[in-house]
Amino acid sequence: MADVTDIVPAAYFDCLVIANDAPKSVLPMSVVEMHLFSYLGCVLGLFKGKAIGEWGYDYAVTSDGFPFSAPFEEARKSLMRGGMLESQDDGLFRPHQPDLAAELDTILSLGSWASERRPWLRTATECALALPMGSIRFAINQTPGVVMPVRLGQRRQLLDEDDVSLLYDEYKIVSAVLGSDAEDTLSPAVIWLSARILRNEDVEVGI
Amino acid sequence: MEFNIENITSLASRAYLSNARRAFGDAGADGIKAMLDAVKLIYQRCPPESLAGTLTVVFGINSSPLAPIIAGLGQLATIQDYAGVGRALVASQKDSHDFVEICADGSFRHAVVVSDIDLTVLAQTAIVYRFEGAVDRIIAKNFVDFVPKISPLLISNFAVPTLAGLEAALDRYLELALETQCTILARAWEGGVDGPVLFSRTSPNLICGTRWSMRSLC
Repeated sequence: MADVTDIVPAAYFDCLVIANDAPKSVLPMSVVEMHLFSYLGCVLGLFKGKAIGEWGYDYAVTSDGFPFSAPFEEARKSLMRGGMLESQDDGLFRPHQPDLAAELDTILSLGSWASERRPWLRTATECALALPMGSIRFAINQTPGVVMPVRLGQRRQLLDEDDVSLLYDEYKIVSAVLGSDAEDTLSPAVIWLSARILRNEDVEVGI
Repeated sequence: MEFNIENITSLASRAYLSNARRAFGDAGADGIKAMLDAVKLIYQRCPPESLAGTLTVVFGINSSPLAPIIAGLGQLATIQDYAGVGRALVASQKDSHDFVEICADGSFRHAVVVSDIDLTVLAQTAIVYRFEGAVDRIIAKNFVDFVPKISPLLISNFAVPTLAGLEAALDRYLELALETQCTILARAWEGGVDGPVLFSRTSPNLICGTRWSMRSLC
């Protein structure tokens, strides 16, 4: 069990936001889904200019093809121990309110670093409004940095310099086609994910 | 999977999330999220396969529970929760047109009409979702977006498919397994998931480890 001093504040905050801000239809969620939302939130932060070195913790892809962060997992376990995340019989989790919301408010009051990243994490969970979770996972598995380790069954750190460069290039394409609307974070994110899920023939026949 | 400009251009032309904002500003951006959340929660109680006719979900911009947008459609029922909405939809008659309005107080108004209406009229003051013939459509003012179906296996992008029986489950499994990245299946098949799929070893994929199922995949 990690000491409380080992908990990465950013990971703790992100876990709170994901559990608190996720749409009702997305709850309850699994451990894998929580890590996926965290990773997607990080990528969306990159798209908006956040440097990867400032995110606060890192990710690896597991041999099963899931983005996973050890600091985020420790934070999630800490929230479980604190009674702010409830585990169900089916292994899924839901927030224990109002305790979790109160904890989130406390963290938000500590500094602007927290409120800056909240929209990216919230948007990550909102992607599940437009796409099934399995599709989001599939799309993430096809993104730069993830696709080859998944194919080869390897573990690997995610979001190295090359990965980030490729992700930026992809987002530039989406932004150029969709038009610039700084307020709109969800639509570019969903289109970025959808572009990997749709087959070309699906697009051509317009379904 | 290629990340190509054609896909992006096509998707952007039907960007219902952006179009809701273009139609109604920030209220539209929030409204489309609230509506999609509601549609998903409704489908968790009444899957689209169980609908007897069409389903229209309406989220009014600046509407009031005292003056629902669908008030002109006929007799309205007030429903307090998603379970009630699900029961009402399951009970609908064949070829009916069910309208559900999401109200600001968390309740719902439900109307059933025999003859369909022009949805663009409703969409001048509301975001409108229509499910009809396994097609999802979202309308906000004059933006009419047919939602690109992300998989032929899904009857709606916003619902988890339900299956009528074992045969349907196996058929679906075959389609799903064809592109799965499951490591167990990868080991179970000759050639792995990405190689030539001719037949299955006997273990551990016993339930579909039959000759006919793998032949169907070829």
